[in-house]
Amino acid sequence: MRTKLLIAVSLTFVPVFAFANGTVTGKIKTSANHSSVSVVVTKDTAVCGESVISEKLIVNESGGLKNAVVMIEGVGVAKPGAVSINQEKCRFNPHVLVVAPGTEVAVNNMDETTHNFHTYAFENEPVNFSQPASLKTKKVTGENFEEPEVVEVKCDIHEWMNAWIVVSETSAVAVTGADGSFTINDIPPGSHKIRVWHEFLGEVVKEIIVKDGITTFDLTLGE
Amino acid sequence: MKIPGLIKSVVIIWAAWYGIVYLFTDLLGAPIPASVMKMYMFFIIIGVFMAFTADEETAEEIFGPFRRLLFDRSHRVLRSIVFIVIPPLVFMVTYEITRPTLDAPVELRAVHPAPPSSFMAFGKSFNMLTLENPYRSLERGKPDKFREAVNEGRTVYYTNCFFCHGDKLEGKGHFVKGFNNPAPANFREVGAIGQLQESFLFWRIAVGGPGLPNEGAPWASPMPVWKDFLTEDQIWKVILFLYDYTGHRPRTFGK
Amino acid sequence: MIILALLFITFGLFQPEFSYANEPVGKEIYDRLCLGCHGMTGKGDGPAASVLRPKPRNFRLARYKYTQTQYGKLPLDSDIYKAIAEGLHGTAMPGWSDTLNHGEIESLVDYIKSFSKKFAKAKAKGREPAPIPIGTPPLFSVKVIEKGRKLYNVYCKKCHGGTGRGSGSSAVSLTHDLGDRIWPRNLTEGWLYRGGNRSEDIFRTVATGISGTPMPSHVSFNPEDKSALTLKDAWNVTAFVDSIITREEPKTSEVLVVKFTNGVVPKDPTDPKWNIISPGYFPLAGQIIEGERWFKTTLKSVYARAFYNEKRIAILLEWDDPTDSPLEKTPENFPQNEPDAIAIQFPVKIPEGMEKPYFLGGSASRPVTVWKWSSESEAKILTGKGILRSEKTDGIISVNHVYHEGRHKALFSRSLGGDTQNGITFVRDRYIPVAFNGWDGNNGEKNEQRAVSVWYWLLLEEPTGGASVYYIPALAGFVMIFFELLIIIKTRNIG
Repeated sequence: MRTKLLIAVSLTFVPVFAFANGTVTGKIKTSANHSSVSVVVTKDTAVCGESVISEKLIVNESGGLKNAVVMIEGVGVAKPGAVSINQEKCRFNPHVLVVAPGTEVAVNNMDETTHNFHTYAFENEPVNFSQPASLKTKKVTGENFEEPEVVEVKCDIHEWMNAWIVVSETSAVAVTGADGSFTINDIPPGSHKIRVWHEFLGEVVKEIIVKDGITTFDLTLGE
Repeated sequence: MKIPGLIKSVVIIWAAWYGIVYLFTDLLGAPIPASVMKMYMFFIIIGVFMAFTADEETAEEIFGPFRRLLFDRSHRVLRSIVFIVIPPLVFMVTYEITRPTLDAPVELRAVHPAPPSSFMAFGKSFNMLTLENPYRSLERGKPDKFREAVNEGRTVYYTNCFFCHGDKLEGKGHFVKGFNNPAPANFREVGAIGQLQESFLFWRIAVGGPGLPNEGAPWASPMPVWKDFLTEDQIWKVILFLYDYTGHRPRTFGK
Repeated sequence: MIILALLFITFGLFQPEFSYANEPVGKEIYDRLCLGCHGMTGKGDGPAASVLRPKPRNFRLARYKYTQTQYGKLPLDSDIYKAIAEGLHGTAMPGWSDTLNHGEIESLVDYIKSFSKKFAKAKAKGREPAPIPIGTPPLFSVKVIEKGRKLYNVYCKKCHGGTGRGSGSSAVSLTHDLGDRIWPRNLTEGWLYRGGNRSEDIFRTVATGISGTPMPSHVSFNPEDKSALTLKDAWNVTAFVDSIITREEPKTSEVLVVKFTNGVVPKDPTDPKWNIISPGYFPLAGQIIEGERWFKTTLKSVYARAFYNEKRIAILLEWDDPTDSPLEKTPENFPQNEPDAIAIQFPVKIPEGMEKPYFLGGSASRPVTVWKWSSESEAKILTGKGILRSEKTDGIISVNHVYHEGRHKALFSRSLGGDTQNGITFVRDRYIPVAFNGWDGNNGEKNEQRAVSVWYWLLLEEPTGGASVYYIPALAGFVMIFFELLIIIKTRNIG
């Protein structure tokens, strides 16, 4: 009886009065073909190698989808912290980075070649600077990641190099690992909107009822 | 102090030349054509010459210095210098005039050649004597519809014509460097579309460069044969747009 | 005075000027003059947008390329003003300062800014756009240029290439923010610098980059970035660019003069003998006349030089193209890989009168001869009876081609005499119509989708160039001396 009442209250007043003690966990999978695609490296092969594996779609044997972003809307307020992204062997690492609005991002060049760091942003101010090997670290101010937006990052010099910076207002957000799994803690029980985004397979929004304790959420994209 | 007549006449001629150049280039913003300038200067020099040689005293002021330079012994040194300088100068000027030039031959081309009395397009014959823009009557009758037609004409212009004829309709589109012989028409110029009937524009646009008679040099004009790309309707509407944008009025049959 | 005024009118020298009777309102001007390209709602989607490259600006994004502010920041009002007043060189955007007055352009700036909320937002946050500092321009000495060259090789070469012609290894895969392909500027052709080619303009672009494009900012305005370029470095790069730029567009040559040589005509496009002739400049434009029209050419002009001797004629064509297509490795996003090609066109016979064949590939009744070189097949001679109707002949044309750092050189050579296969016979001292066509394979150009020119002239110069031209001037000089002697004798007698 008390539990039921609690659910009713939390349904009505989410997220203000609820205790944030739910956990959502699960796997994002895809039915898309998972064989890896290699991209021909057209320049700087001494630093970059002859070819690179495309990061557009990384799927393991059991269909687990890497680098999908899972976000539960309107839960918690993300706070800016210190984050960094590396340009390493002509790849961005990490490939998908979630930041809170106003986060300063340190960009590191670990390669012995010139890169540039170019955000293809529209809601936010874009940034684009050249980063030769001598400029090991450059900080991009929080002003460039102020508005919620999925921002593609490119090194235009090496056209296969890209990454995604997801500016998220909510703190209830996770990026899936190599097997497609994710875990998001501190969700108030009740009904929520859960948003799953992937750079190639697109975006899906679903309703989810979060219980006290663990709630499982599995989704297959690209059906 | 009295200014010598020779200096006075030179100053007057120079001032006239400078004044005309200033008037055209700086005040009117259009450089004066060289041929027109030559004509003006011819009349001005003749005029000054006649004014100064009207009586003997002023004539002496003009010719005196020359005569004294040539025949007066006291000017011997100056004369020697002049005599040494003049022959090479004559040589150089003559060389400039007579040396073989590698300039392009002059080709004459009728910009607005006479149209035929009738022509074929869109599977029918158009009679130039009776041809009228079907949308022109809307201007007074239904201004809203007319505005709509003008706007459709704008769309036609900006997807087909403005590469050469330009954003400002002055014949300086972004392809004009490559297509500048013959140069694209400047629709803003007085004497262009304001002197023409809409039927002429319709014919000129529909048949394009290759449809010109020989005096219009059909082999040289990059103007496409627009009846292959546009409809009859689109041509009439773009004509409306040309007149509307430039503020010119088409010539009509009565006048 | 009245007569003079009448004269002006009859000569048609008065231009109609636009006037706005009432207080000029930006919207009114915009709706009349701007929406053909920029669209009703400022989205850059006017009717012309589909046939333009670069595309018209989308004012709703409030992203401007040529600004005195840092990369990605909003522009100053004066940046928008400058773009309207002066236009953007080499694009369809003309300068409007001859049509609109100062107040009108200012009101247009305000109206254009009103398309985006970003200006108001920035103001509310106290982040009004601020110009970058420009430091102190150095004297562009050899030493400064050399410093600039070193920086250029690290920061710029990958896109702009070793010679500045935009042929760097990354040039083939660039896009702007909205996804369309974009090319690095050919730094040698200053007249096509969109945002102007004064030293300050070059410095500004080096320092701030070009917002919304892959051209990054090179100067860091954050003092924490210790090893980033400084304002001084950016000036050094500017000095280097200044050393390779030609600011004025060459004058269009109407006649390609073919020089006589007693020896053999050069067989190599890089033969130093070519240097004694200064090249003719022949602008090209998109083939927007027949068939599949082509609005987005990358080739803007061809440079030509030519020699002939008693037997042969040799014509050297040079043109800038950032890519030597087909490419060995194609980037994923731009797979077009057509061959590059160039063609010279003549009438089949030298025309007797005024009449020439149709400049665009000839016609059935008046065909043309076309010499065509392509990077993928043998050079050939074609007979053109229209741009869509040309046939290969058995005629033989020899072509030597080299490509180096953004520049093609193709040396065409053939015997002076022609026949039914070879086409035209070249005759000394006759004006012969000539036209040029070019294809940039990496831009997807093929068939009638190409850059074309109108008819120009080719003239085999008289070989003598000798004494006869001096006879008449010398005679005139002697006549003058004769008169002088007469005067001297006469004054003697008086004396």
